[in-house]
Amino acid sequence: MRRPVKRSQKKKRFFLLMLAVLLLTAPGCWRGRELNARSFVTAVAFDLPTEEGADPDEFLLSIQVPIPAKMAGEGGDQGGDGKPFVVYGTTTKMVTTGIRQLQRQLDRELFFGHTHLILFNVEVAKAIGVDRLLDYFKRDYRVQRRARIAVIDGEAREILKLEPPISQTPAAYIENLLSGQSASGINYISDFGRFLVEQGDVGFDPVLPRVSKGKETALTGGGAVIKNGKFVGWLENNETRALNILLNQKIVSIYEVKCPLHPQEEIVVRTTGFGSRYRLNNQNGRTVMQIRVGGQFETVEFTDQHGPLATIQDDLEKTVSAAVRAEIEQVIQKAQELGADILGVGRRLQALKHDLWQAMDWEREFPAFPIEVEVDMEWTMTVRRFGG
Amino acid sequence: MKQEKRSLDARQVTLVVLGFGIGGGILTLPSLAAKVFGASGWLIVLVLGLFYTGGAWIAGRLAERFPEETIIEYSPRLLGKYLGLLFNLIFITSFLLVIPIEIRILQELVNISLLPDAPIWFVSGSFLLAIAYGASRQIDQIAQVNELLIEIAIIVGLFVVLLAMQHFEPLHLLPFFSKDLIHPDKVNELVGMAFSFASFPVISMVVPYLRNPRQTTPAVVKGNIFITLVYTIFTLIVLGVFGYQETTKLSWVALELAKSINIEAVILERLDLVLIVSWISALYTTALLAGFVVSASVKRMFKLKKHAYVIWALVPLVYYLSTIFTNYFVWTRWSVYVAALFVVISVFFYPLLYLLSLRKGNGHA
Repeated sequence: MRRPVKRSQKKKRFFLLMLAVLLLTAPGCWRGRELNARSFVTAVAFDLPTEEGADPDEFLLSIQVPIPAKMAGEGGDQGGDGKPFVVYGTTTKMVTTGIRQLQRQLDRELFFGHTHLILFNVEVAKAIGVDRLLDYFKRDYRVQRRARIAVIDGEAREILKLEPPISQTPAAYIENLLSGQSASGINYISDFGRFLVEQGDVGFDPVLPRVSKGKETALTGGGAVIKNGKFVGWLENNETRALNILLNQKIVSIYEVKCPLHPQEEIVVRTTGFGSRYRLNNQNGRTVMQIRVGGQFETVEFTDQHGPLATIQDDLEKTVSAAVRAEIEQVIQKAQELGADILGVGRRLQALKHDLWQAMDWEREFPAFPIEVEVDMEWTMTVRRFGG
Repeated sequence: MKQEKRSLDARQVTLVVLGFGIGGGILTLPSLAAKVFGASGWLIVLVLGLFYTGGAWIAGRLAERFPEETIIEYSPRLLGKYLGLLFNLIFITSFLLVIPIEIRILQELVNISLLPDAPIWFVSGSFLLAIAYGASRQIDQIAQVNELLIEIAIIVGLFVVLLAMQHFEPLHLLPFFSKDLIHPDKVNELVGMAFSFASFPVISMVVPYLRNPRQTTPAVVKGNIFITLVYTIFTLIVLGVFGYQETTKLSWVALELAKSINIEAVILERLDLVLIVSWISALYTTALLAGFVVSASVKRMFKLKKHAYVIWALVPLVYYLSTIFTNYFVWTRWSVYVAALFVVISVFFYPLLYLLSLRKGNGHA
């Protein structure tokens, strides 16, 4: 009778031991770091060094770190000149070395898991290249693919020092500006993950949003064309809008067009529902890319005394279509001038006419590749008021 | 032969095949497929899956012919003493090596994302103890645990894949089978992909526990078809989202896919961490079933009393093996070796055993 009792006791002991092991491991903690032992880097900026005679391979790495006590409105004396964040900078050749140098000034571990913004001064993007500087962030698993990247027309570090005009965190302010929520259509909406995918795509050159410093705020609009990892040229606001239309980015925007009845007067239209369809056609032995763009608009403001009129419908649709087409042709021309296939024509050729693609030297042929555009805008009226 | 307690139903057997097949391999499978077949990598996953489903059918039919025995017992009768012994050793070795590889994958996942500095003895050690404890139990308990865990992992995985559709670009899947994008020189990667598919041999060890052995073939074929569909859809989505160029540059594509998802309205902002936590379940079921197969095989080979003794005795060896897979390149190389063993088992031994069983007609069915 004693043996079974012993066996059951042994089982119980073993079960308790296993339970203890599981309890110890269940919290999943190892070398846990308290929140107050970490500095959360919300934004990173790259500029050229300010010192004269600096090594051409060096760059100025700046980071923005929020001060939690000040963000919560408690004040305190933790630097930052009364701002809820502090910006640190160092000159370096490698991002990792720069982070180590910055770490020497801080008693908390720098943590990049909450980095929402990575900004590049245009000169750095041109000289060293965006791709080269992003290498560290590509390899750090903690960095989010949804972090926003932008090229700064001016000093990137200065953008980090801007305080948001309406209460929110500084990085969130720029992040929101770079998102599509402004509904202006002139921002190129991208993020770290999208940039990596576009950079990897054959026959496609990526674009990053442009940011510049206004008087007291940051200004968005426009795009930076990146080729082989480096900046090659800017896209203006209307060119960026046209690119968004071509890339089916579902933008909403406004256009100012001449009134068909009174050319000296203007009508503002709100455009939406854009869709671009691509077709590779053979015309007289030449392959031509035909792009058909469709969309809708509604009239939102008139400088003339008359409001929406049924008689101007056809002419207004033609006028708006022409305005959209003019912008699209402008961005195509800019892309071909820069020799950067930001439209993804090469990607379509590579995917759909692969034999032809293989026979081509795309770098050489893209600037002269025939691209035809047709635009058909439709007036979808939601009339609330006739007359002035 | 002692009559085993028949406690498993066909659904549980299908889930056992899924539980063993869906593990760490899927996290890296799209990269391997893209390296060999470029934008059409998903198609080779489908073709390989269907090929191994044929193997699953053979394994099912073979198992049905010997419903009272495992392959360890009847293979020496069919192949002869020495070839049978060789087969048994290859069979046991291939399953044994799966455990340290899965442990190593877990260690990397945990170090990459959850606990960057957690040492091997802590992460791998505790995982191995949990595997050994689980594998020392009876098959009905193992099947129940597997049933729960693999369903959680699959549901979360499919949820991630579905949400990732927001970034899907059909052009990324073209050109279709273009010669310049196919790299036959990387055939070892192709062999490595077998690591993800060859889960059906597990059936050869569980058939004596199946309530109705006649359901073996449908259950194992169903399991393999499901694995094939899951892997094909997953590879298709990954290639559509990232394009083949970016896919080949990523080591843990599944995690990157989860990271790319943007659902601001939902509190689950870090879906990659949710995926990792649930995928630990999938790693566990693979290692757990491998542990059971190894211990049950050794028990039957040496006519031991309990399979639990075997798995606990193997713990130091498995731990040592997991520590020699020092980095990604080492464990992926070993996974190719293991996959090669599974290819030998699936493509050579199983058809041979089935043909011999038909010829000798010494099955019970």
